[in-house]
Amino acid sequence: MSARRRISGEPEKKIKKGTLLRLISYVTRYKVRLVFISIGMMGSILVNVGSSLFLKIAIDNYITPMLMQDKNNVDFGPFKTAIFAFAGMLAIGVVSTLIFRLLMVKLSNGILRDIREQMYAKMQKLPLKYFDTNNAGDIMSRYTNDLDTLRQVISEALPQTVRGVITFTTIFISMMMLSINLFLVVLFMFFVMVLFAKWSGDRSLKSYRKTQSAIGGLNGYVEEMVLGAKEVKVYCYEERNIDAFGDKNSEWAKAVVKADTLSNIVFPFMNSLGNVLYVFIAFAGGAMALKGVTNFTLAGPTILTIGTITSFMTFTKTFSSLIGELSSQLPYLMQSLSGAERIFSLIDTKEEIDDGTYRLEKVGKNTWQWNNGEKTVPLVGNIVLEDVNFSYVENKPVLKHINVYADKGQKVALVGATGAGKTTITNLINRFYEIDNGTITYDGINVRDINKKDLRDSLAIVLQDVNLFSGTIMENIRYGKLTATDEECIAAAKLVYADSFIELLPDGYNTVIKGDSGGLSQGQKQLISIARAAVADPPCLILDEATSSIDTRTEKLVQKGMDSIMKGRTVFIIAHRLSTIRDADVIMVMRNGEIIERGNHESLLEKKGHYYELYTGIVEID
Amino acid sequence: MFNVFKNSIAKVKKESILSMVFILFETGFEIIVPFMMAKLIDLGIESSNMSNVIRYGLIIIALVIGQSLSGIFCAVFAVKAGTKFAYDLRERLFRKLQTFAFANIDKFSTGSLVTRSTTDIANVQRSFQMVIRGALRSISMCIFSLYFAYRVNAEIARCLTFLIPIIIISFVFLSKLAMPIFEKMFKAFDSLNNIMSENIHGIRVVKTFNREDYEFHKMEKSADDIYNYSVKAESYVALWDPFMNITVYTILIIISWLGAKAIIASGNNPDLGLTTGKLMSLITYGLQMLMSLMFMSMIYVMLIISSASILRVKEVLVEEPLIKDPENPIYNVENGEIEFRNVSFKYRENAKHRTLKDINLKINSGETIGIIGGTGSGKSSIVNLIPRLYDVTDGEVIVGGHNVKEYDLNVLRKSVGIVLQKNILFSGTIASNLRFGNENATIEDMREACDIASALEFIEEKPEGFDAKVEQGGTNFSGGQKQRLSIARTILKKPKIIIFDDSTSAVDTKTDARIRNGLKTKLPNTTKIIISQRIISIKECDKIAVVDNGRIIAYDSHENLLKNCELYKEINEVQNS
Repeated sequence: MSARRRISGEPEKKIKKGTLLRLISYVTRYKVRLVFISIGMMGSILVNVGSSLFLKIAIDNYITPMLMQDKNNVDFGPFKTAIFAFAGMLAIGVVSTLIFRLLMVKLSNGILRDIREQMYAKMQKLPLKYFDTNNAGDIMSRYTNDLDTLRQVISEALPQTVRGVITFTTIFISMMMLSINLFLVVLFMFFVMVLFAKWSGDRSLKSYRKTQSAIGGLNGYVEEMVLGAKEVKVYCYEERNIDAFGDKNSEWAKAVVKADTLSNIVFPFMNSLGNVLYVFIAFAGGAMALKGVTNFTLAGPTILTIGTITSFMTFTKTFSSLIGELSSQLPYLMQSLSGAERIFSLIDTKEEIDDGTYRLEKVGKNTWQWNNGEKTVPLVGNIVLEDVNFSYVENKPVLKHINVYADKGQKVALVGATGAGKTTITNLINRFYEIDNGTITYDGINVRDINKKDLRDSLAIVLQDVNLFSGTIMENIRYGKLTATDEECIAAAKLVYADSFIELLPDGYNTVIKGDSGGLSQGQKQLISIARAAVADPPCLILDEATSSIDTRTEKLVQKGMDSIMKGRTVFIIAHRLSTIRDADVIMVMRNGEIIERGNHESLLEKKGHYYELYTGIVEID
Repeated sequence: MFNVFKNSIAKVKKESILSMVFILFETGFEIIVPFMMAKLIDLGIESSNMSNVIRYGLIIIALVIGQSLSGIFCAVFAVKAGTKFAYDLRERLFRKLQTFAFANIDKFSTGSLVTRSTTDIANVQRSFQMVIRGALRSISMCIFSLYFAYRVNAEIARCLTFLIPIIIISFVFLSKLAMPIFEKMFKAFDSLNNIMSENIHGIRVVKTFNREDYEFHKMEKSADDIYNYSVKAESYVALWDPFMNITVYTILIIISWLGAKAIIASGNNPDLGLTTGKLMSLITYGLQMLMSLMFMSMIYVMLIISSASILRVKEVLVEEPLIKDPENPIYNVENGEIEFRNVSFKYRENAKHRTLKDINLKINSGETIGIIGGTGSGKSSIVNLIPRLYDVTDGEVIVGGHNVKEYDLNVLRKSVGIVLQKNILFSGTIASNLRFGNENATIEDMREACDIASALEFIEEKPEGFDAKVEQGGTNFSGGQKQRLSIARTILKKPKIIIFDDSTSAVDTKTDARIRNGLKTKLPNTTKIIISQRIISIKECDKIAVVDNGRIIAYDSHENLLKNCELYKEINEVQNS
């Protein structure tokens, strides 16, 4: 088995400044849309702020003068005109909001699609090492959790923040247009609120992290115990299980109560600060109006009118609710940025390099050749490893001085305990990993000089852990060669004895396999995966524990088909069950990354060495 | 739908009620504030009366303090209620899972049970909190606002009242339109996640066959679906915004038009009717009402979205355990004698084929029995019936002279140890895993059991010995080591019957023989049933049952089977050739 190492728990880093900018760069790709969105957003905000000014205008310019008129003969005409004008303005606001919201939906989803596709395309190009060193769940969570938080940032938090900032500016300017004196009071309260928001934000982030780790622990426990539910029953572990769960559950509840109480207190408190500000403005405004203090505005000094005070107070309300909104968005925004960072780190991972110049080309029916523009070599399937050294981690050699000579039509078996390096050898031939030193040649060409795609086209691997894809059985067999006809696929299935059970399935070859390939046994899946490799029809075949889950009797039945598949090809076989490899041309016995014995079955038995011990069961192979 | 949650809700009655009471206080204070603000403007600022400004200002501040305090208390109790509710629900769900029989687990699949007890339950909790915090708050806010609006000016308030049904109907209409598209979108997400997860797990296959482009196109199709459905669905939601604008603006225009008329009529005299100050508070009430309506609609949407989760949690909670203790159970298993009488079995009631047919088998206490047969022939199904992991469809399974259904489940399972085919170790230490079967096992017990299971040698090689760490699923142990630990774990239970379900498949033949020998000499009185694909593992058994296609076709000693059973002969030849 390959060295699967998990890099767990990346160290917690501060969010890089570039992340936000980079995120914005995705947004700015949609220039035209962005222009319309900005215009729409501005229109929407201006109208929104303007609408709160309307009351001041109505009271100061219309209602108060009308009060002066004869009570029985008031002229509502001008007021009516004003209201119509106002309605017209509001209509523009509604249309702007409509446009900007709809475009925003398109924009944010477009960006998400871009990122998602970029990530996926990137993932196809990553070296195998990435998948071996990163946990599948971790990679997956970048597509699910991280992209989801990013979605919320792009479609909600980001526009709301932008909108909030613009509205803030507009309100601040409008306030200063009305009264700079009163604005100073607002400014003071603004700082108090910001300080409070920061204080509580820091605290709630800290306790939020604690809840996250508590829920992680709790869910982890549940997951482990549900997956091991059958063990729990068999060993009557139920009662103790409930106790242990209860402890974790209480721990979680404690953390949540602490974190949630804090974050839920923030909102009512902020709200109250807003109301207090309202009263302060009334005090200050009233005092100023009474004392006749000069009211400085951006337009110059004036006197403070009743209408000015009331509309200023309206602004104050919008201002407070905005602060509340922004302060709840901000920590969220920060959190999501760390998700964006994880996404970018995937996108930035170094790709698999493919600089080989030898390409495969067809020169006739079933004959191919290697061509690098200068030289052509016929495709045969001779593979040679000379003095190959390899390590997954520096200074921890996994393979030492490996020499293997495999000619066309030969069957080479690799035998040895787990971790001896059998699978690693096959991973080097098709360049899933690059060797440290030594050479591997394919038909005499160094594999480094062969285009990776073509190299892999000339090799097929059948793995112990079968991965089938959602789709029909036919599609899964055809995965080996997309142009294969139904007949070719069925012929391959017949060859490996899979036809008989496939025909028994309700829809035969069109039976859809889903998720965990429900219904098919591991052995049946292995047969399908061998058929898949057979359809690919490569000159070289690697069978890595390919028949491990097939019972001995069925294996015997499959043997004939396997023999015909292997005929004329270079085959590497890794098998736990030694009966599978007995007739190999050469058997390499491996231990600790070295080939310690080589020869055919008979000669190795005669030698009475390690192979003999394995074969007679003196030593455990696993 | 919510009935099953009643118990959990009942547990947090006190907290819920307290939080609701404080919500009433909070909204009450919050509503009176604009009322006082109107007075402050009318009697203070408008009339240039500074002492009134101060008086009403102080009243407002007092109200605000009251509002904050009740808001804080409300938060405290609501959080307590929500958390306690979730705590209780999680515990109930987990307890329920412990009562499930294998068949119950199979029905849901373990993967789905994990989702239900983690993600889904979190969604239910969120909905519950939303309801107790948000629903009452917005409803009371809406009612209070309207009430005060009526007090200020009935005519204008009536206009506001008319708006309520319009808003609600439009909202329901919009969400009805959007919902099916959201569902399609979620499905597209599922299929995308499936493609991605298959791609990650099958990356070796993808690379081996150079299918990178093919995989990308497969994904692109799903990504396009997601884009199209999301844009469509979110556009409906986006319509909500301008619609809200229209409503707010309409309220503004109605109030200013009608308000202006009313003010003119009263001459801006607070005693005669509407004033400019009251006009301001009317607008506040109008907007507050609108906000609470919006909030209610959001809760409604949340509930719809999480209703799938609620349903999934509920399904688990109402699931009846398929295997239960009998009413007057027997608490003692006399001996390790086993008998199958005309047993037939199928995994699902509606399954067409029976997995086991007419099984008759008699095993005396202390005997060692082998079971052999091809993959899928029904070997495991037979032994699973002994500790009642599944119940027979027809016939009887007798252990120690009584039908297994008459025993207390715990007693039966403590007497019948089974080493499962797939061995799962749990995160912890070797010792904690061994104690899984018997929490009172001493170090000596463990050494003894591990010695029998031939596990002692590799445990002692580890520097930490029995305290060596075990990763989740036992990934840091080889298949053979896991099997030997599982055997030791079962021996520690000191059962009267031990079943080995192909549990030495990854162990070499020599160790296998040693284990068998150890069992024979150290546990001579225990009934042993060994399932294996290898003839060598079972040939020394007192008797061997040959299973084919759900039937026992022969039950005899190795020597006799070689003479009389074709299938057995065939297996033997394949394995010895």
